[in-house]
Amino acid sequence: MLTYQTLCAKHLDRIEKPGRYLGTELNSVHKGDQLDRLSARICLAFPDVYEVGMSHFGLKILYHLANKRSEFWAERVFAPWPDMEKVMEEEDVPLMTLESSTPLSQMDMIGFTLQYELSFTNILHMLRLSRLEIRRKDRKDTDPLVIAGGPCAFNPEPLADFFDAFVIGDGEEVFVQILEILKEEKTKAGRLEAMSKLQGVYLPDRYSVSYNPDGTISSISPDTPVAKAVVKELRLEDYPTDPVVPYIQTVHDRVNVEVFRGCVRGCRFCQAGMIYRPTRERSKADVKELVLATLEQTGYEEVSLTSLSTADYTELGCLVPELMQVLEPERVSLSLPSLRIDSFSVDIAREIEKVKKTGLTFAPEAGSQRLRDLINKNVSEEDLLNAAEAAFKNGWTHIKLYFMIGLPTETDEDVLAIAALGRKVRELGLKYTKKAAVTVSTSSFVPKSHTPFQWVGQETKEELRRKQFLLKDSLKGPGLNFSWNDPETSYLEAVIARGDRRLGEVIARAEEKGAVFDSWSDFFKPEIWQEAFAECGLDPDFYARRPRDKGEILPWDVIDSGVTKRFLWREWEKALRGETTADCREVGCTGCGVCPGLDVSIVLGGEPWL
Amino acid sequence: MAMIACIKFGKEQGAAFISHLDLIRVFERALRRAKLPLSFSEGFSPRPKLVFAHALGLGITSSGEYLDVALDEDVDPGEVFFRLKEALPSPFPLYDCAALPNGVTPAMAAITHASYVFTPEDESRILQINSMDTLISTRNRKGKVVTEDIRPHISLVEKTGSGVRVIVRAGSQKNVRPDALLAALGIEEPVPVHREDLYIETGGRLITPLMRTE
Ligand code: SF4
Repeated sequence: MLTYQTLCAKHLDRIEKPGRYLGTELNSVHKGDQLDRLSARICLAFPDVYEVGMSHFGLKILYHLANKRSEFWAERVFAPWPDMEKVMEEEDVPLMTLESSTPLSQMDMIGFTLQYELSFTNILHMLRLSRLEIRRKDRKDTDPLVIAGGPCAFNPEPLADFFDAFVIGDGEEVFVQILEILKEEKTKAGRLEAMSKLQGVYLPDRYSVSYNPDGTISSISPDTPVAKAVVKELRLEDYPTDPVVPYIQTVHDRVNVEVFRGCVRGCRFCQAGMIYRPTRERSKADVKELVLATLEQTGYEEVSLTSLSTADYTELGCLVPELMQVLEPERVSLSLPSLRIDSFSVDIAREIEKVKKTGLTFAPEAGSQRLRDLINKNVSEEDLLNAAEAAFKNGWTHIKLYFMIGLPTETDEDVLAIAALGRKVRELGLKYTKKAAVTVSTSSFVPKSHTPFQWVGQETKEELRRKQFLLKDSLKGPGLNFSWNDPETSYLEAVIARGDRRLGEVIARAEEKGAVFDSWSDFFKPEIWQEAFAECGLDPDFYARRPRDKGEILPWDVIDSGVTKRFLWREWEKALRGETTADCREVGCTGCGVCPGLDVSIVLGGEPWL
Repeated sequence: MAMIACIKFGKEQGAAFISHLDLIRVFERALRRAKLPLSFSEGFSPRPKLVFAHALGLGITSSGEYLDVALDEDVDPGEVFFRLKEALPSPFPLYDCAALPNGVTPAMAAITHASYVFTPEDESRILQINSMDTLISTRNRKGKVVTEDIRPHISLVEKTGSGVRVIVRAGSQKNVRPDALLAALGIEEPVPVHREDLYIETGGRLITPLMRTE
């Protein structure tokens, strides 16, 4: 039998990074000698290259939850890089799991992570390499169940033709329930029937969609949406303190402890801030325990406290010094992925970067106060200047500012305000250091489902480019840098993010024509997608550019995130009026609906909060 | 710095494709898990002080790799051995550990020979070295073709139970890589290669890095 290792040995000169395929990493789980004791074998699939997929934390949680149970074995697979794919094709080998080189087609279930829209063609490609039919209706009863979860499952419709089921929301509990079903039920129909009763499981074939002549949806039946799965708290035992430690360098190669899930700041463009509500914090003691236990089992030299906005963690002020006390003697560094725009955050950053002062990043998201109010980023220019001043005062020389271009109602004035802000920050820095430098980094705004901006049209690519150039021209000068992304990929992202079932055909055709690794600029070929849309008779602008009416049935109405459509619309109206909505932890419940609707509550420091 | 722990380990098939840079990380993390009193470099990002004896080409398995680790305290080599054995990923077998005094010549500088076992389809193609007076290796170095007779650097070629053993010069002075040897013989198809051990020539005999005294 050809395994990844034998393939690597035979074609060593052709495979750039064999370390991607070895499956023998520290803490990888091998149950090949207990096959007769297993009730089910599953494969966790990430539709991107190893280095990206192995940096994804959700996958590690699921790997841990399945493998700590003796009757299940979860293995991993990532999208093979083209060099390996070529070798596998020549040797006539199907896509296999990393741990045991078992063909995916022999699994009971394959679970894909849907992390970003531009990985969707990779999913189809991986099914093809597994020699499974891409479309659900063409697969046999004896083929594995093919399911998916992750943030993009909140609009599952563009992938509705391909998957048997989608898992919506927090995976910890529902995933274990699904494992139990695999054990109890042995037929595909029986398994799906049992899964249909779980909160958070969406079976696309149980719904049908019809359309109006203008292309909008006339009805979805049944009209009972699937509520997301949600865990009341982040439990210690669900956290993998023994994650697989890769041999090769990955994007985030470190201990990641999620200090809280969900964010209630209410930025109106942010999908994660809506779909993962409410905030559920771990207690400080739990965070410390997890950090230390993971270090013991991995030997990592860096710890990151992750969340959507780590500076908001209630006890961060005491947690950081307490952690530093144990980490410093061991030469383990601490990092925080996101900073809030205030001097508290700078103090924390100073605490953890005692010597090495690399750059600091702040995300005002919009240049003008008007636009920051519109997106509900409750930050003033003064806040930013204070934070930047604190940073320069404390020895940082380089500040990166992150913005979006193309936000609803944005004018050239708003764009130029970005440049003005960048300059002000640099000038402030010059008071403290001659080396003061500012990088302004922008991305194009992509309206996402389940947000207050789900009804708006994206700006044209031409307009986005024009604004980028406008900004670029006004950001010339010493100590000022500018970086941006390609509006072409943001456009495709906008199409798929709010797509309906008819897009499935487009994605399938694009994949057939060779679209893979679309999120990698070297691979992305917009022409392929244009052809695919044309062949299917669909207009991508219909999805990306068109403003929706209040009453329109949206493809993702089949999914209930807990945050009501009424709340989202109200937020949209407030946005247009320039009104902000405060964080509910500060002013009390602002009525997004998730807590009463799904019987959960905000958890702070491990304790429920009223 | 209190002592140097010299560690002898191997690379099985599942580890043979780990590049040298990645190998450093594997050991840094294993040593941290083993909770040994590591000695760290100074500076912004302190790293444990490790020196590998001799880099191994990608795809080659080995039962004779050596690593010098600087420790801040004296630890019984048996203790180092057992703690590290627990901490290493399975395709890295651990064979031995010796406590060497500080200031001992780093294995990297001391290595002079390496022993490889080749298992080709046709062993005679390698055994024929014994009847050759010269073996010309051609390399491309910075766009220039360099030829060299490597025959003088091959000390032994003999048949063993598992294949053909070849002992060659290795290390910083003179180094014959197994792939260069195969290429010089005109063997193009991949041949499984295993490194048996590394040696230091001293006083006319070969010792292993564990036996270094100065
Ligand atoms: S329901 Fe109220 S308290 Fe709960 S997250 Fe929404 S706004 Fe906050």
